[in-house]
Amino acid sequence: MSALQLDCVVKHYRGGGEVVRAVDGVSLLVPAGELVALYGPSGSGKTTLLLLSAGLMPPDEGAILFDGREVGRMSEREGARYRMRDVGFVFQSFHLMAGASALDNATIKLIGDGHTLVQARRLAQPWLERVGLAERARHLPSELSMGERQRVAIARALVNEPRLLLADEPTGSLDSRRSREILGVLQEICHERRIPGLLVTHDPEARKFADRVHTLRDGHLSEGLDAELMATLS
Amino acid sequence: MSPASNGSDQTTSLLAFEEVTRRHPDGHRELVVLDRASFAIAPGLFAGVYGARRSGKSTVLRLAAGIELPDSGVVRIGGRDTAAMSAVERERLLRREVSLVCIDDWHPKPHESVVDYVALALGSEGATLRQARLRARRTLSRIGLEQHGDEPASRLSLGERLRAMLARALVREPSLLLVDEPAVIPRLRDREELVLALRDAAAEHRATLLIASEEMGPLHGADLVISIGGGEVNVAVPRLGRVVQFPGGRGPGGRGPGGGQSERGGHGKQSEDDGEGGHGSGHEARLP
Amino acid sequence: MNGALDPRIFGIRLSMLLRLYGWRLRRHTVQELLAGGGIAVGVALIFGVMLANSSIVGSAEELARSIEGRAKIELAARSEAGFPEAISERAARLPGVAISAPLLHQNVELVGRSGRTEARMVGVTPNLVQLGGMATQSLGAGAALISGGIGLPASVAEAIGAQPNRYVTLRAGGVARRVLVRVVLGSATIGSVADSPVAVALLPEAQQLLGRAGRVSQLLIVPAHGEGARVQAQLRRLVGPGVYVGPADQELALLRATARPSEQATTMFAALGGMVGFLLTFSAMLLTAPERRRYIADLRMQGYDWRQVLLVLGFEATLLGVLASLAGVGLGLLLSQLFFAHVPVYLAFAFPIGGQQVVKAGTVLLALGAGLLATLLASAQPALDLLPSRPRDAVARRSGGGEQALPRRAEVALAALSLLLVLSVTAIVLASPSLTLLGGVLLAVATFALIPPVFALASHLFGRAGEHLRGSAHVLATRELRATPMRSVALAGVAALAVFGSVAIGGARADLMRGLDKATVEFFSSADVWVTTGLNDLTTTSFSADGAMARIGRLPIVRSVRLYQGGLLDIGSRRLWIRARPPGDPVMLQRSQLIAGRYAQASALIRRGGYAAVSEGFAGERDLHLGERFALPTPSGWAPLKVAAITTNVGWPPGAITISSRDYRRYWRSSEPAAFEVSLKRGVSPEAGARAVRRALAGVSSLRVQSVGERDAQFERNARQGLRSLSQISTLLLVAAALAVAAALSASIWQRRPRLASLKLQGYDRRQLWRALLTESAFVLAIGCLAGALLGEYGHVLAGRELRLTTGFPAPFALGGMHALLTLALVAGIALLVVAVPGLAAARVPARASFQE
Repeated sequence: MSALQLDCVVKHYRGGGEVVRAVDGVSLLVPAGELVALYGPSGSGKTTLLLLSAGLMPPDEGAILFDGREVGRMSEREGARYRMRDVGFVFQSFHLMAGASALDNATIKLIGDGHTLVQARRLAQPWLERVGLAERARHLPSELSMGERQRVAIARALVNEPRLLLADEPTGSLDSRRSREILGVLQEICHERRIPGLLVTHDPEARKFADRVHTLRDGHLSEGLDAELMATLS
Repeated sequence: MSPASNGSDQTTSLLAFEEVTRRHPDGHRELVVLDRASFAIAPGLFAGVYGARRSGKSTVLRLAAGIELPDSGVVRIGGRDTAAMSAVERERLLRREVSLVCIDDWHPKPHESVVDYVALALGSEGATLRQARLRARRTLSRIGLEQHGDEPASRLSLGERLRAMLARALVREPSLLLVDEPAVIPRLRDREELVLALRDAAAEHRATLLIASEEMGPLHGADLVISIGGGEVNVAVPRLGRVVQFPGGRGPGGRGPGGGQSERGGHGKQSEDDGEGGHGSGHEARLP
Repeated sequence: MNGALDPRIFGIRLSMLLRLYGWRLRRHTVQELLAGGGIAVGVALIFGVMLANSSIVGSAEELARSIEGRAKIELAARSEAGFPEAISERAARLPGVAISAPLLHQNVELVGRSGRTEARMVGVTPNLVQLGGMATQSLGAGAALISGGIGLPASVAEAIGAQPNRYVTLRAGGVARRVLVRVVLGSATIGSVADSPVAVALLPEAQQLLGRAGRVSQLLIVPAHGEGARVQAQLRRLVGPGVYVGPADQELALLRATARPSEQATTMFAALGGMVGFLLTFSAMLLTAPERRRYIADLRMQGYDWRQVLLVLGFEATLLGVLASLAGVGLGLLLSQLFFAHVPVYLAFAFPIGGQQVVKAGTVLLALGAGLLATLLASAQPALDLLPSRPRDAVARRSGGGEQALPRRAEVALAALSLLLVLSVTAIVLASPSLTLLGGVLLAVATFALIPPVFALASHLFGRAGEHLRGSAHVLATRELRATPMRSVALAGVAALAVFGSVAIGGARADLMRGLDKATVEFFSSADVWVTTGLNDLTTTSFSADGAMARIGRLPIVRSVRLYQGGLLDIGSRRLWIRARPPGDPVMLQRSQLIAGRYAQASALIRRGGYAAVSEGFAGERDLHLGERFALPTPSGWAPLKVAAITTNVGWPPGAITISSRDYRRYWRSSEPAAFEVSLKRGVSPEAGARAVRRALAGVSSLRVQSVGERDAQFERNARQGLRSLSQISTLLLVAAALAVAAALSASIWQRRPRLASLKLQGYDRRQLWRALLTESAFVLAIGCLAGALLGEYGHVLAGRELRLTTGFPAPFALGGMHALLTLALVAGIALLVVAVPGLAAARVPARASFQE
């Protein structure tokens, strides 16, 4: 089983005329079978860290390793394959396809990976059930509530049985009961399948489900919650 | 639903909610966002709406701006029932009396200068472009943005954006200023600065200020805090300069999922475009 | 700014409105250009065609007005030979005639240093000035100006390289003469006549040049006040049936009747062009609809009330509409100059048509109004947010930016509407073929109504069919199609309309060409070599026989020479083509053109005399059947004839009458040939024969000698030229539609980049995305093209029928399989090629763009 390892990663970029030190020398190990929650104020570089881990941008310095491969140095095709086969990515803004049912939305990665739609639907159905959407599989996104849409997005991320789980505020638009459900699912997946999971969140619930908690502030990582976050979350 | 008991509020308060109920559809369900909520805000006060994400804060502001009408109950702005106004009258509330700033609603046009961004707000009053720009510059300088007046609005930094939006709201000299979610400002210091600027500007214009936030920080020093969650509304009057515990120790949403609803939420427009949203204080949050 | 310069409208200053539009334009330059382009294309096509059509009759009208002036009555000869000048002199002295001016005209060929051209030679008297025509007014010097030579309008002089006081060659009646160009007249002196193909001389000199001493073709009369009817009656008594007496504007009525079929076809195309333009604008506007909804919300949040928001939207649409329509009018002017401006040869010999464009204020206003209305309609959709039932800050923020699909019921209703339209078009056209133009437009509407249901069905089937297939392109394409049904339908509609028009009209045109070519070949097959004036005149201009016929007859390779006669004859609203064939001709009739009557029997009857083959239109108008009697007004009076056969119009819209040349000589009192038909001895090729005849006539006559093949080719060329604007406008429509669809597809693909980026986040690579985009575009195009081709083929059937029935054209129907396929491939091919490029660029979007939505 492989872990996700970030080694002295640095990423700076420009935004609004100033250089943002989004990630400034971060080292982090997400071991297989563990869910790591990453807290931090908005703009602290959390999303950048996720994009780096998904191989969507190369780091300025340092290395990101998964399964013995350096994620930041992959070619476009390797990167695409990595995201298609190995990564399950849960967005905050779900990017569901308006013209497709919940079930069909969940099939998207399987189809890109060479399954027929019929096969893909069969494979995706249990995942919809797992996130509690069995009876709404045929509904269009516009007919689903916000929470249900997020659950479709989670099913979509899990359907290819990823070996690495990345989640960007997966409970951002859910109430606490639904949040707990979703977090529970993510935690189970990591434990059951012995895969690493990295969860970027604001949700105070999340730390109850995470195996470890880190705080990212101004590009720097620290173990646990820092004092300021502690104050707002508790 | 005659608010006989609140009779005095009608004359003295700028904004009054009387037994207001408001429901929103969400997917296939209907959410009760406000359940017979009542409160009143006197002119010139600084008030806060405190509640978790999707708890209905925006709905309170939209009702207060006359953009939405209550399903039942009465919303009064300056003593007038919004439901009894004509459509055009209601639309014109936003021209003179009320300004609503939604912090996540930043859509400047490309190449549009900051001055023009602010000046647009005066177009409905029949100001010429020159007059409007003149007034826009005056407001910008009051809010400390005069040096950026001729820059393209799209190039402003986050903090400057908020000031620009604020200037746009203030340029019409409203008597009621509604601000949604300043918590998206990343740095605490910026946020505090902005809230101070907001309060100064409101005080200078003798405007009533109502800020909706999911954190208590921006509501520091409020004369009145309305906490909202699960359709319930609680009103607290903090002691001067200090935020106090809510009566009964109940924080927003402290009752857990309210009203038997499986989901609660505000208007369905927030979550998708929130981007890097503020700290989710969540439903379990307690005030310090 | 001054209050008068900066008025307040609904409380908003003009300067503010302009500023608002400026921002919008900068933000959505591409989409605004696309929308404006749609309007401009539509307006250009409509305006260009209207202009071209109205210019044909309009230029003739101007010409008539500028020469005829106040003339109300005319005498007109029944043949090219004219009537005696003595009659016109007597007519001029009748009581009640205030002013009269005789004219002589004939088609001639002018040859100058740098070219040749056909023109109408007009002989005039100084009296013409008194008619008060515009062109003649500044010719106060009158006779002196052109005496001793000819005057040429600037356009003619330029075309042949003629200069004042130099000689040019004038070929008329088989004789070439050198004439002095006395003056070149610009538009400053003769107005719009300067653009007309004419040559002017004084009457006596013209008579001499044309070999028509003592003859005139026309007498224009201004009657004394209130004397019109009495003068006409007196004239009739004076001249009998041998000369036409009637209103002076008769010529225009004849022209209108002749030009109508081609006008109808081009009008139909213009209507389609307009619809295509509208749809394009609509789809471009759809692209910006979410953003404009946000804009509306923003304005309302800033305290703009609904009337002010409507004003802002309306102002922007109006500005766009007016600017785009103006551009369209300009483009239309250009189009009509580049493509439609040529004077149709098939009309020019028979009518005085000028080359000038006649732009009427009404036409311009109509085009502008149509463009503006289309823009307002197309941009109205976001204004629905102003309905009280919608929240004031309603903004399209639905997941994935999907559009509302049409409800199933609406799709069924549209399919039913489409079927109903097709059925009612069938009923209408069966009942009254002359309503085919209306039928065509209705059929286009049916085509469009068919798109949504066909689209829904096809995308369903496409999705179903793809369920067991590997590969992601078709699945992604299907989903995207379902997410943006409105836009896809609008774009498919653009393709459908363009293909519909091209297949329908193109098919009918191909039928017509085939029919005409066949008729031509049959018509000339009676001889191996034809000797004529060489003009593009349907062999209607006669020449003096002199010794030429005998010379040809003496050639050893010649078996026989026959004398063919012909001309034009005005009856009612028809300028009929009179074809008088020598009884010795092996071919009297075109077998393929027969509608009623037996070929051999009819030929024999015509040869014998007293019988005629008449065109269907003429026969139908007079309810003539085989064997029935009718009379033609000829120079000698009424000619009694019987119907031997009924034919098509043999390519001349008003129709033709075929008789024996013996009858012609008798009734027209003329033995002048319009052609010599030369039959060669066995074994001599037409080309060799033509060379021999040419040698025999060299230096004696300026007649043109053509082998039968050359003669066919000249006719076919003219027929094609007459239909050229039709094929050009059809090609233009196709290309415009293809580019338009491509542009709109590209824009919609480009706008979708954030969603494509999110797919990249799911592990899709750029090639997968590109394939999906192309599949989607191909699907939209295929649906549109197929629906268009299907109904287009039906339209072709109807159009062919209307050609045959209403105008009696020879247009044998043949399924336009190849043509339809080519059309389809052209539209789809161009569009796909164009889309491929932005598709590739869009597919390369970086994945992190999905966070920037």
